[in-house]
Amino acid sequence: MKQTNAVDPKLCKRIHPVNRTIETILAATGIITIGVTIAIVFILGEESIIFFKHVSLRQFFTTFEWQPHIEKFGIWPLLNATITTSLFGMLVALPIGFFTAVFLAEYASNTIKRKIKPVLEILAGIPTVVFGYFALNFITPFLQLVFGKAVSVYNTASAGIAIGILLVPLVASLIEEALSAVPRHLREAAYAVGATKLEVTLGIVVPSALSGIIATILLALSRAFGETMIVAIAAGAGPAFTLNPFKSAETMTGHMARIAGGDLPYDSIDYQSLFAIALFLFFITFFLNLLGRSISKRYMEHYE
Amino acid sequence: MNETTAPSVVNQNTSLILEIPDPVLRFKNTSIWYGANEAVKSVSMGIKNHAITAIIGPSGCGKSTLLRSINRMNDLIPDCHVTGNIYYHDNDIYDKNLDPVLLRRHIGMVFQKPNPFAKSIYQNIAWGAKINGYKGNLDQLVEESLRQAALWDEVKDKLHKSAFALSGGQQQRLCIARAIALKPDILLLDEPTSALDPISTAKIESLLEELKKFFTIIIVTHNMQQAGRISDYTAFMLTGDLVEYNETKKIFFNPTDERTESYISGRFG
Amino acid sequence: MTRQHLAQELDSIRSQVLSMSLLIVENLRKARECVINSDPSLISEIKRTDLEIDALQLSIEDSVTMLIATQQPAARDLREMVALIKILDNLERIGDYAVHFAKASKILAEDPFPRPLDRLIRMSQTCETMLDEAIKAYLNQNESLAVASAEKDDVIDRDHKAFLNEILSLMVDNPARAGQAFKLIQTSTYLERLGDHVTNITEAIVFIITGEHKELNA
Ligand SMILES: Nc1ncnc2c1ncn2[C@@H]1O[C@H](COP(=O)(O)OP(=O)(O)O)[C@@H](O)[C@H]1O
Ligand SMILES: [Mg+2]
Repeated sequence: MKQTNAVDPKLCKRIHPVNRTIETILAATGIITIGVTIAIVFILGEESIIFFKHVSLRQFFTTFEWQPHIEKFGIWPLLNATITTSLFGMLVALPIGFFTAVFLAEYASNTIKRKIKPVLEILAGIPTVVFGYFALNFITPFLQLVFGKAVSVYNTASAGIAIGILLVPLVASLIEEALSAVPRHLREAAYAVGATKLEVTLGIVVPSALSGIIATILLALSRAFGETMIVAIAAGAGPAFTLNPFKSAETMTGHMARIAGGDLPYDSIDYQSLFAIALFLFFITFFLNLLGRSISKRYMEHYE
Repeated sequence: MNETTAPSVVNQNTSLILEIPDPVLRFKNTSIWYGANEAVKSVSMGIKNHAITAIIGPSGCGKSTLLRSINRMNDLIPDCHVTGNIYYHDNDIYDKNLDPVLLRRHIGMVFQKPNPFAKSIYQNIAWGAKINGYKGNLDQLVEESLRQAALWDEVKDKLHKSAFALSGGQQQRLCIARAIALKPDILLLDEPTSALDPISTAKIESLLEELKKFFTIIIVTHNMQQAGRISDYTAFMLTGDLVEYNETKKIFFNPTDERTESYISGRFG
Repeated sequence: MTRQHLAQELDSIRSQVLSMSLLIVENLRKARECVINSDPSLISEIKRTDLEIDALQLSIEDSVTMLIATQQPAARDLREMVALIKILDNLERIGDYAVHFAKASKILAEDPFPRPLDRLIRMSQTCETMLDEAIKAYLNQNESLAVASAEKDDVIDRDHKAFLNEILSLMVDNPARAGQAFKLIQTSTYLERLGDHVTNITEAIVFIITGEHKELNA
């Protein structure tokens, strides 16, 4: 902008020291967040590079055995266990969470809402370690009661179900938010063409909230992938490639927690393998988040 | 005034409230409450078939509330209730045996803000027909409704595109098409052009003049010029009271009540 | 097509204006017949029609006012409605003059006039043509036709002057006829005025078309 000689003092730019300071602090916190993220990726990357100098990407992604002491580093047993627990988690969390959300957003009266919401909040506030023991001491015996001896003491199904219960409050509240965000005028439009409540809910409100619902699913999925304590306690110790959810198998996070808990020498390949797993996990969740974001963005303007 | 026929609409002040012989819709001492707040106060009036009736009045006077009581849209508001009666032909709209969902198939509604569904243009019209068990040819119904809403030529090449890609004026005509696809008896419009530019407004106004051949139209508008331009009958409301109801010409040319006069001439307050 | 209502109402108003002017033309024609035949028998009929004309004026005026009240006319529409009020006013006056013209037949019936009344007759014919053209100019929004109509006012004025001279010379010759002559002068003046009112109408038409106030016959 060009400097002119005479600006009326009434219109002259002012200096706001307070505003300046606050703006600087805000910018600084933003930079710190970004900096920490970059640092994490950097550390993960650094150790992973060393790991992948010893172990080929090909071995990592295409072999089915993970035995660090005999230098077998195929990710599939861990990944498979993670997928299994997450899948069970989703099978539990999505339907229950979805219907709870629909009930809360569309059907429940205010008094009922006021009763259910705190319950969900309590559920959300329970430490995951409690869920782990809940899986071990309640879900597994229950599964054994139903399916008999086929169910091991440690198994991915039980851990997955516990993850699902853990995620119900998250899924329910996020979907409820998405449904409630559907503007009233869209509902009214549907009622005005002679739709019943169910038709309005399933035909108009849910499709309109689709972006929020999909984003919720992806968020829940990345939470399930990353869940550690429950699987460490209830899914079993020791990588095993099995498609049977009643068998014990170690997930990526479970494995990392167990190994990191032991005394590993810093520059051993075992130690570096943890970073490789972590980096892989990071990419998965990162990708899920990106996907969630782009989907919400795509549907975003649809309310207006 | 005609003294010999028994008045179908009971009102204390007959000179202010025009009697409509054989009305398609009839309010009888209709009061509408939000909790303890009486938003509409004992309104009695008849609505003429195949005419455009405008409800005007300052913001907050109860126009929308009155309009939304006709298709029981107020049911959606938890503490809203209606006393008195509203008759659609001979049916009491608030009879406990009357199904509001079925009622709304006969009494369509268009809202202030264009509110197409998050669906394609085609589905916006087809959805209502489908849930209402329409058995005919959907393509034909969609085309016919869009034509009637003077929108067909503008959208015929993008029927399966999202309705949100349309301009505000087009969206509002789509909403009109959606409403008339159900072949309702009565079409309720709540300030349908207040969010639109003058050209879109003019298009919708002329559309309504066309549509009155097929439907009875009740339009709420805070734009009294609009009421003057398109309506045959005008009801003026003030703080929940129906102050005056007559032929639009009469209301705009020579209103009886002083309050109507000052509102119409823009000297309110 | 937008603003159909306004367009329809205007159309209906125009056709009412046409009927009103047709009634006036018809009255003028009947009045002339009375004068030519020195026969006042049609006068009551003419008066009845004039009442109809007056009623039409009021009802069209109301329609125009209501249209202004409800339709917010602008630009040409607005000019037309404002001009219509003037046109109606002038038409009504023209109707009155037609009645006055017819009344001349009473005087003639009491006492036949010794000279031909060609000029007076011709004036009334010119008036009729002017009015006819003016209304056509209005309905077709034809400026040049309006101007042409206004120009004929000169013909009327010339005939009026000539007629006055004739009458004056007659009065000088025959002072006993002064009373009758005076009435005929009045009649001629009515027709001259009638022409002026048609001119006013044509000016209003030009105003509708161009938006300008033009003096068409100073
Ligand atoms: N959902 C509602 N809950 C409570 N009060 C309402 C509600 N909607 C409208 N009202 C009240 O009812 C009165 C009339 O409102 P409304 O019918 O919307 O007026 P208008 O359409 O004439 O502007 C206002 O005083 C308003 O505050
Ligand atoms: Mg309103």
